[in-house]
Amino acid sequence: MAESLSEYLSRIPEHVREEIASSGIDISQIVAYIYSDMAPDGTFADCWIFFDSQLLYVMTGFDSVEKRNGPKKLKCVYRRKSLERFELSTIKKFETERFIGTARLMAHLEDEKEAPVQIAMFSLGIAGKSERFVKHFADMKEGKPFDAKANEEEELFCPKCGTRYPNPARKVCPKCMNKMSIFSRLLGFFKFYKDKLVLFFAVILLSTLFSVVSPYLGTKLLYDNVLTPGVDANLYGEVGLVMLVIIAARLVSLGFNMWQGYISGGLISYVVYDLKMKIFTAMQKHSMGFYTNKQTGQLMERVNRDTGNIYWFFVDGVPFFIINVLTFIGVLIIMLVMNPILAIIVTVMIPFLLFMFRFIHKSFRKFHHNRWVHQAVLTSHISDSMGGQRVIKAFAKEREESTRFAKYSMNARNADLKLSNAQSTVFPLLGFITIITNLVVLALGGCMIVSGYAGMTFGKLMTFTAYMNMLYSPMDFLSGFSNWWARCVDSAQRIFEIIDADPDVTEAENPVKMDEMQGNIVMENVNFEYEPGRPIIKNLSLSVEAGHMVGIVGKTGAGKSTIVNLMARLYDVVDGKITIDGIDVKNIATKDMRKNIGIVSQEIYLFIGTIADNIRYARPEASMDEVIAAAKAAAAHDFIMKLPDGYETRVGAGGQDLSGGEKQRISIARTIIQNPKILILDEATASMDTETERRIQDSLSELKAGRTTIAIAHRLSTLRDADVLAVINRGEMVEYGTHDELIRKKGEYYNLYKLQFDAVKHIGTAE
Amino acid sequence: MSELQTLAEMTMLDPSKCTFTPTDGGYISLKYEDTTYERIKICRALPYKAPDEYICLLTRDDKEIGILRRLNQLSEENQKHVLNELSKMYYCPTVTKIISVKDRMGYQYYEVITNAGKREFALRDASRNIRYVSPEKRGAVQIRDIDGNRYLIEDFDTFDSQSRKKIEAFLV
Repeated sequence: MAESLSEYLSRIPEHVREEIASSGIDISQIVAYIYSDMAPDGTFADCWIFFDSQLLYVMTGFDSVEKRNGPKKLKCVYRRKSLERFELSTIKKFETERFIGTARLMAHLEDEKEAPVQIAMFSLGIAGKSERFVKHFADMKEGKPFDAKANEEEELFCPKCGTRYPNPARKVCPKCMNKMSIFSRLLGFFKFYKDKLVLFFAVILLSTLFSVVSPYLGTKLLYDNVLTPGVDANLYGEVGLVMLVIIAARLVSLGFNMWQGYISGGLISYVVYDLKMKIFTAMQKHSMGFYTNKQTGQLMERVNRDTGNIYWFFVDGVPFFIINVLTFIGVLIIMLVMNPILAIIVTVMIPFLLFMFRFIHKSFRKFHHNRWVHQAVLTSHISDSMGGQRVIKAFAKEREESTRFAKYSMNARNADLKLSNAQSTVFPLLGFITIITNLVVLALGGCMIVSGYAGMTFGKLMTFTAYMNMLYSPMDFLSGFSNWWARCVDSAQRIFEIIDADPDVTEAENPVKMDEMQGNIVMENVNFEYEPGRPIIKNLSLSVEAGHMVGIVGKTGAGKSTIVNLMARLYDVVDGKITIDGIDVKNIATKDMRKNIGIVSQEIYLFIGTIADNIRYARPEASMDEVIAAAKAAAAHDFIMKLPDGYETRVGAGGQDLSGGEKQRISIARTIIQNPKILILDEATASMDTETERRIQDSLSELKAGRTTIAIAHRLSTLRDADVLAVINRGEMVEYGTHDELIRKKGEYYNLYKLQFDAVKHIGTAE
Repeated sequence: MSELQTLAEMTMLDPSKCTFTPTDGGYISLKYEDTTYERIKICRALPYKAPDEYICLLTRDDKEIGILRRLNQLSEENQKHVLNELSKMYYCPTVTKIISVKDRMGYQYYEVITNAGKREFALRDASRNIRYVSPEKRGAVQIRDIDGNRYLIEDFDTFDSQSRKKIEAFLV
């Protein structure tokens, strides 16, 4: 969102504004500012650099917290060390210089003989902001108004608590994140399955109830009523009967457990399916920018691992959480009823035990992590040397590789050993502690039986200890539960982010329908940047007449692909306008854009499926005749027919391996069958030999009639049919004209042409 | 001399012909033979293993002038200027104490004391961004935060033991 100047200025912290005002500077006159976290000598400090229309101010100092009397005892104040002023009229421009560990802001003076002056030094995180500061100054110099868009700040710190966002693109503060609200939103996914949910809780309740009651039946009844003579004439000696009762109770409890497993498993699978669908659909909405910002691997991880985390949390975590809490409370109540004194003694020990469990979880996590890291290193080493077998063999390094493997393997072994040693020490110790607790209870209870205190019997004491043992497992579980919970909420948060994210390239509200484009493309003063301060396309104007072919020439990284991506509206321009047949591409219906513009890019991707499916991707209803014609036009037919399964050969992940050039030809066929009015060829024939390229070109030129073609190529011979050529250098168009014009001009194109032509000539003479 | 060695010699500078002069604005200029290069850039080829060897000199627009094989072949005065420039280029505060490490959402938040003052920073993927500088896995440890800022622990073995415990699990 663009913000106004006053909003921008209001982001300067209050105590800093106070300090600025007290120096007699009118804050409302400030045009731009930047915070720097280092003093000029490299020590960490809080410095502010800002300018109004006359002067540049450099304020050095640091924030400090002061104790005050009054309702607000702590107050943040700014301790100023120095305030320097520079005449703006002497400064020509600012520049950010990046070093390896730091960056600095330099002022270039109007007097070019003078060396630039260092204005501020800061850590790398601020370099991006510094670029914006530089732009604000340049805008002011040129008399442009305050550019609110340039200030679309990537806020790096949470405005509420000042914590650094782990990922500025995400803007989620781990401190302020409302875990409950995320969780309740997650629970919202369950609302379609209300009946199942009610059943689920009922079953959990019953199964817990049975497991809590069973020691009473099993122990108390057995010891006090069956084995003790004279207490209950009916039950005495009925060992078999009581055993049957115990087995029955256990069976019922077991049945409930299984039932609960089925219900929760079924329920969660549906919810996770819903979640996955939502994420995947949300991801399809996004522009290309979304995919280049976030690595594809990360995205796949989100769909799979994050939903996996949620699945296991609900399948394993939540039911056990409820069961354990219920058991814990139930058991405590029963113990209190049975013998309050012993129960209180046990209750006193609970915090201590909980602390023990928590400590163990924490320290084991460290060992587990260590082991995991070494395993990961080992695995990546294995895949490294498997993948690099050709190189290893070529350099005869098998033995060295084994030695390297031995080293990583040894590390992994040592990490394993550490973990198992820790386990061998900690678990028996833990067992010992629980035994001591049990012994204390047994001793006290024993005294009570002997003295006949509080009606204590042998059976009661045995039951009591049985219940006590039932406490350990919930304690263990609950002390480790918080990590589980945090992981699930984190996953849910990440998922919601994708679902909520607004696509940055959106269709206009009332898009213009253009069933058939003519293909007049005009770019007017287009500017574009992937990240602020690093312009890729600078003030570029270019027009392409319908039916013509334009060749775009330039060095690697000149911005050629970006230009065609902008034409196809895979990204939106930052500044300027692109029109097709006089209509701004932002207003054209996305569907019509895709239908009318075909792109064969340097990145080739085949989907999982047959070759025919892949060629038909844009128009699934295309007939087999058309598929073959397209494949022939793309010079793909011949090699497809050599494959044993012909057009039914399965390609994509896990399918038939095709060479780069073969895949490229299929993707050309895919675009030909789409029959677009505007054809974009981005290094489409780069990975082919010259002969195949020539064949494709010939067939393409037949198709070119009535079609606007934009072709990018390194090899200038590829562009021999182009009507006009545009030479791009560092995001700017440096030359434009026909081949003959440009050759006569003896400029950049001429040089490129000569270079390639000489190379060809050279080969010619060598033969 | 092997052919490769001859090729290498071509990029090496003759230390006796180099004169470095610091200039205004914190820059440095180089006079080599008869040419003077203003505002040159100086980089290390082996920043950890041999910080004083194979020093690469570049012009303002990143074209290589040549490589200095060893810094100590220069006169003391020149050495001082080059080292000064290098310390600016490779500025890296030294961590003396880690006050706290907090795990949140898969990221770690650090509060540390460095020789340049107190500092808070965040990092992700700790086992990749906290690592021994040398392959022998001893001595200096480097920490890199989200923005690419670097912090150095000069010797992990003699590092403050409470601080050491907080990060040793990530050192692979």
